[in-house]
Amino acid sequence: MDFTPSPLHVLIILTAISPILAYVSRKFRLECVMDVYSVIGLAVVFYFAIIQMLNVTFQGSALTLTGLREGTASIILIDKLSAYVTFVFVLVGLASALFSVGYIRERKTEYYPLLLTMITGMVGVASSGDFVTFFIFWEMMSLSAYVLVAFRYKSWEAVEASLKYLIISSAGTAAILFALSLMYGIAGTLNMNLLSTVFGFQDMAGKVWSYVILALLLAGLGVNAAIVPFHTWLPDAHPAAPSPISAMLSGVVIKTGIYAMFRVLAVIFPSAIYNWGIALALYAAITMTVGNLMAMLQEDIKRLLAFSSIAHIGYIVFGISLATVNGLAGSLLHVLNHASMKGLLFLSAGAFIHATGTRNLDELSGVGRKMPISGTTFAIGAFSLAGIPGLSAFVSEFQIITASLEAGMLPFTIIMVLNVLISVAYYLRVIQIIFLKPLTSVSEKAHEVSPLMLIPVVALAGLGVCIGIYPSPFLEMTKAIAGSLLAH
Amino acid sequence: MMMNYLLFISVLLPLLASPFTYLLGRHSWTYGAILCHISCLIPFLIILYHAPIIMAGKQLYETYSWIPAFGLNLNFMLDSLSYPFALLISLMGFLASVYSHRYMEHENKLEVYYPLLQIFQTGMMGVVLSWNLFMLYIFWEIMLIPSYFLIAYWGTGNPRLIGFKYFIFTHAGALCMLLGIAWLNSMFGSMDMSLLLENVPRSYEIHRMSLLGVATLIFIGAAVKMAVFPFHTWLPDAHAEAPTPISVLLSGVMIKTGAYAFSRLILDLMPAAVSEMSAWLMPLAVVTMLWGGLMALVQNDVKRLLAYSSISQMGYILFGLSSLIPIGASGGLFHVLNHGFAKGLLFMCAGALIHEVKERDLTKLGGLASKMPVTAITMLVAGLSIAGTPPLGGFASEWMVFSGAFASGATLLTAIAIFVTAITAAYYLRMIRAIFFLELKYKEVKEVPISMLFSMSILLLLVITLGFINAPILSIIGRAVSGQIGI
Repeated sequence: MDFTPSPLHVLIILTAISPILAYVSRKFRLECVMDVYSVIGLAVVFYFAIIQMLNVTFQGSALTLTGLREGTASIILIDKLSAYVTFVFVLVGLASALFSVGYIRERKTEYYPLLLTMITGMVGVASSGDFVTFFIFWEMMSLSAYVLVAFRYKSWEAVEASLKYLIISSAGTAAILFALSLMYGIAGTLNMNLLSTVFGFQDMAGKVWSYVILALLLAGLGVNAAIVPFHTWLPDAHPAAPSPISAMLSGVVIKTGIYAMFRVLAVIFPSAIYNWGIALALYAAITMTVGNLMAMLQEDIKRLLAFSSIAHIGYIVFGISLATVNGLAGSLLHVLNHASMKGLLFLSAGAFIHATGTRNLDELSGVGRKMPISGTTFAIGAFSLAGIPGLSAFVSEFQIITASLEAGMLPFTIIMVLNVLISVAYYLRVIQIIFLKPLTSVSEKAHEVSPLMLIPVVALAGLGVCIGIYPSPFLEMTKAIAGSLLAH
Repeated sequence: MMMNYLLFISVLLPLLASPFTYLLGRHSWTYGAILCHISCLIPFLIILYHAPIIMAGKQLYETYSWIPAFGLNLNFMLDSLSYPFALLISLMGFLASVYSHRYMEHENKLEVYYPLLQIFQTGMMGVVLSWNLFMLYIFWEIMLIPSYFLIAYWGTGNPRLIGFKYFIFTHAGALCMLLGIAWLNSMFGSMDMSLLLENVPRSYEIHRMSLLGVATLIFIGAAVKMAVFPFHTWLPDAHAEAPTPISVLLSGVMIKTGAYAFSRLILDLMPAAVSEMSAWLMPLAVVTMLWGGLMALVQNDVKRLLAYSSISQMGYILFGLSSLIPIGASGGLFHVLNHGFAKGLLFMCAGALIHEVKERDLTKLGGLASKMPVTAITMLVAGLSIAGTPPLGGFASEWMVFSGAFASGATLLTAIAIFVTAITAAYYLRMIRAIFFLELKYKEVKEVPISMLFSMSILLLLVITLGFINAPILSIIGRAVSGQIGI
């Protein structure tokens, strides 16, 4: 078999070496080695991720690595969807790692191995072709996420948030595991392709167990993706983590749940048979409304961004619930747009926090005038997620809105449009505070952060403008992926 | 036969020049300002140059490929409906830019002010020239963001709160319009105006309920911009507290894009829907003009008075357009020009007072006619024009609106509308008296600088001449209207 290195291979090797390198570099007091190692390593992975995405998308070849025994073997399967989300995960991962170089000052030797483990877990989740492999990578990602939330273990807030995250998320994982065991009991396999042939028939729709499995999976994945009412851990955990980790958590970690929903809902339990569309749309509507309304009330900049993530998960789930090519394409594009823009917002907010030492919006007032570059990039991210045309998130939101009108879900569309309006209100409020309000004693002392930290921020903002102005290639790609999912 | 890229330039030149304006402005704001004037002048010259072509009944169309996935091209169209709007926007943009030069000279951050002004200008030009509803929406929002910053940073009073209100109201309207556009797109599979113009009127009977929904949504979007009665509350705050050159653009030009959206998206695409809706559109228009007029009567702040007067005048425009009689609709479109020029001029005069006397309260001003004779005359003429005094421009268009409304059979409503012109005359004469007559309270006042007078005198000339030399522009408007309503 012709072996081309996939990003997963490189990541596994990088992660496996990193603790040894960390140990050595701490011995010799050369912790900056870890900076260089992680950033360069992730840059290489990012390169491979792009190559892989182009290969898989345009040559249509799904890579499969499998063991000998069909049915129970561990499978790595990389199709269009996997390659696409891998690209998104590694993009935000690279940006966060680059930002961490300037932001994380202490215990780098513990930080980077954990970050690499988390990225490996996510990419592994996206590349698994069977649910055992999926579950192992899922736990790898989750465990490192718990530890990273509590990275500053001396602050009580971080430890409490991490514990809450651990407990709620473990309950979700238990639900997933139970669903997997039921599926194995019924189908005798956890291979995703085989499962879709077992559950994709009309006569399975009458069985109670099919719905139990579906409900358990949705609940478990819903905890990870922070769908209301499983969202309560998110607004604590995301602000408590260091800013680059917040960017990872809010940008991409919650998207692994979304990725799994694409697999489970679009492929294994197709809407045409199980008819989950309206139920899921209802959850989506509640999720976006709760997220947006709560975001309006926040005084802490990172908590506001965290609630906004919940709202955007609502938009994405709404797109999935339409179960049409256009709806899924809109959701997939919104996965990329929200990941890059929310990553950008958390990193820019991290720059403010780095410069002022506070997360309180009142104290941050006027900071954008002192830090023009990170202030401007923050404004680009905020306007983008507020759905202002010419920036990336508008394109995907428009796609979702059009698709929902085509699917004849006018009431839900109106709810979504109202939600977009609410999101404009709170993002505008933040922009006003950052740019137009008078300086406080705290924000007066702020200075622009180092150029190294500005690189990822400016690059992500550039991506947001690019997709906003010229979305065609991205839309074409997501439509192709959505088409391939529904063709199963 | 025609040179290419001209419309592209006239829409996007200010936007493309804005980064250079910023960079030059950081060196010295005067250079940035001069670049801004030039980049706003060129589109006006381009539009003016095409007057003979449009009058001959031709159109100017350009297309550039943009997002094939949405079926989107970057299309620009200059036809007889968009021509008056484009002319108004490009001229007022240039004059407001020149006016800002001296008016804003003592403000902070002018290196940001002029680029924002340019982006604002691009947004407005783009709305009236784009031939694709998606593009129209994008420009609609490009118009909103810079104007928000212009109000919230350089405004007076409590600018952040007012800017916030302005943004949320307008954006809510814009989202309604977006929903309408997306709905049209999901029904007809295209957002290109040419295709929609072909398909929508034909299939009105089939999709009647959906199209009525679309028309209502788009109307709400346009009505917020036009400040039609229940949606008007953002306007008096925003227009009164914005820096004066921006008030000129907001009140003189930007709210007219609502009238454009109404006539382009609703009258052009769904005239049948308008005739079903006109039973409540016309009373709404009359309520708007009455409400704006009555509120203007009791204001003591010059700019707030002018802002309420804008609401009232937008009522006339909507009244004329929704009468669905060719002369009434032409009058509505012609009033767009007359009100735009006159209201811009009035705001410039108010700015002259703020610049020279540093006072905008009617009860504290007085007797300035001898000190500022030019300002006094221009303000009087512009006020009289809006109040419908012959032979000024406002008289011609209001006459047409009333004739059309009578012909449509709404006698009572028209009678009220005519009565409102008396209110208009009352508040303008009260304003003139309070500012320029009575006892003189300021000794050390002189006339405004020459660059501000330049902008004012051009508008004064237009306000007077449009009253009797209006055949060319009326021929263009007449063609636009006959395309919509058909005679």
